[in-house]
Amino acid sequence: MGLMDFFKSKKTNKEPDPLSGLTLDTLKKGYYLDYDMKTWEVLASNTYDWGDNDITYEWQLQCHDDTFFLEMENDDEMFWSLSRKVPLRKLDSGIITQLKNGEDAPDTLPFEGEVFYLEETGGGHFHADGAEQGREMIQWCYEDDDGTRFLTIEQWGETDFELSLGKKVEEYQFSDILPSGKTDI
Amino acid sequence: MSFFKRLFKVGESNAHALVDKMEDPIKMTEQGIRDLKKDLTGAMHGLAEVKGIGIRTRKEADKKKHLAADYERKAMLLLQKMQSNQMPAAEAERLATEALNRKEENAADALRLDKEATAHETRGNDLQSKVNKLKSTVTSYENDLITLKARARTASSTKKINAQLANIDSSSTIGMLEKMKARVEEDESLAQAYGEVADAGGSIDSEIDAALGGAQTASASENLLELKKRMGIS
Repeated sequence: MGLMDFFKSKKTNKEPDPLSGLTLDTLKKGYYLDYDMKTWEVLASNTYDWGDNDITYEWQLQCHDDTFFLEMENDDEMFWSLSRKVPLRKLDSGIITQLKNGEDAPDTLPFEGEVFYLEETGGGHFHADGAEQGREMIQWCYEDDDGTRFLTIEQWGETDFELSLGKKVEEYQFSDILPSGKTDI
Repeated sequence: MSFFKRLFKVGESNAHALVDKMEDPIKMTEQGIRDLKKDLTGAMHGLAEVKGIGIRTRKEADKKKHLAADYERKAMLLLQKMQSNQMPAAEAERLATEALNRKEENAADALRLDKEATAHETRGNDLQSKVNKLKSTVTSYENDLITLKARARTASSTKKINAQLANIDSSSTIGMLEKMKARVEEDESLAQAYGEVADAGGSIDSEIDAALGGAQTASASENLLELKKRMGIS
């Protein structure tokens, strides 16, 4: 230990208040929480930066037999959604071809007997686990008639597409948030 | 010797009494709650570990179940190949037997891990309810402390006000009022006196002026007569 170490202030990782500091928007990697009568582990904490301070926060949740992505957007009020990845083959292949060719996305999308309507498109940067360097991507968001279910197409490369199906959720549906015993970053 | 021991005890108890007076009960309670929260955080970390083990064990159990099912499927495929003469019977049966053995092993592992996962989950649920109880206790203590702090502040202010009120002697207040009254009356009398003096001085002047004013009036009319005479006006 050198002389300078003596003068350095010790970095202390402040634990969140166990009563008021553990809320859904303060989730970190390694935390646990309960949803739908199962316990889920937070595997990753990511962000989508759409520019102009428009950020979507995403947490990857995993239980023993399922993986979900919890997202939060702050648009006048907090909006929460839960989605899971869906095989791309479930979508009409013509739509992907359309997107690959640089054509506009269709205004409506039939999926599993339901019609979804184009709500938003945008490009942004995806930051995995708080990484400085972001990855460019484009997203097309479709909503059902009620506005409670969402279909999202993401393009990560020339031929790299992902499809997810999600639904609106509320904070109260999640409970018993537990901090990780490991050092919080 | 026992005399000195007794003396020491007296000194010790007096020292403790002194420390008791110095301790701030609110600060002590706040520290107590902080310590409780620290314990609660520790309990939550422990619970997180148990839940994590539960999830991983359950996942392992599911994996073993899938493996068991997979080996059974492979055994069936081998026997089908044997039936369709794609494979010698002996070889097919040997491999199918091996596959079924593996299936049994994985099924047994899956069963064991299932039981372990259930035990972890039960322990986790039990710990969760204890943590929830602890949370509710600490919350209740915090709320009590907030109320007590407010009451302590109010009591302290009331104490000060009441002490000040108690210190004021009513007779001295009356005495002060009487003094003030006397002073005011004195000032009023003086003001009246000055006024009278001012008025008196003024009336003599006006007499003098009045007397002189008649003379002045007489000299003024003489001047007029003289002027008329000079001008030949009758």
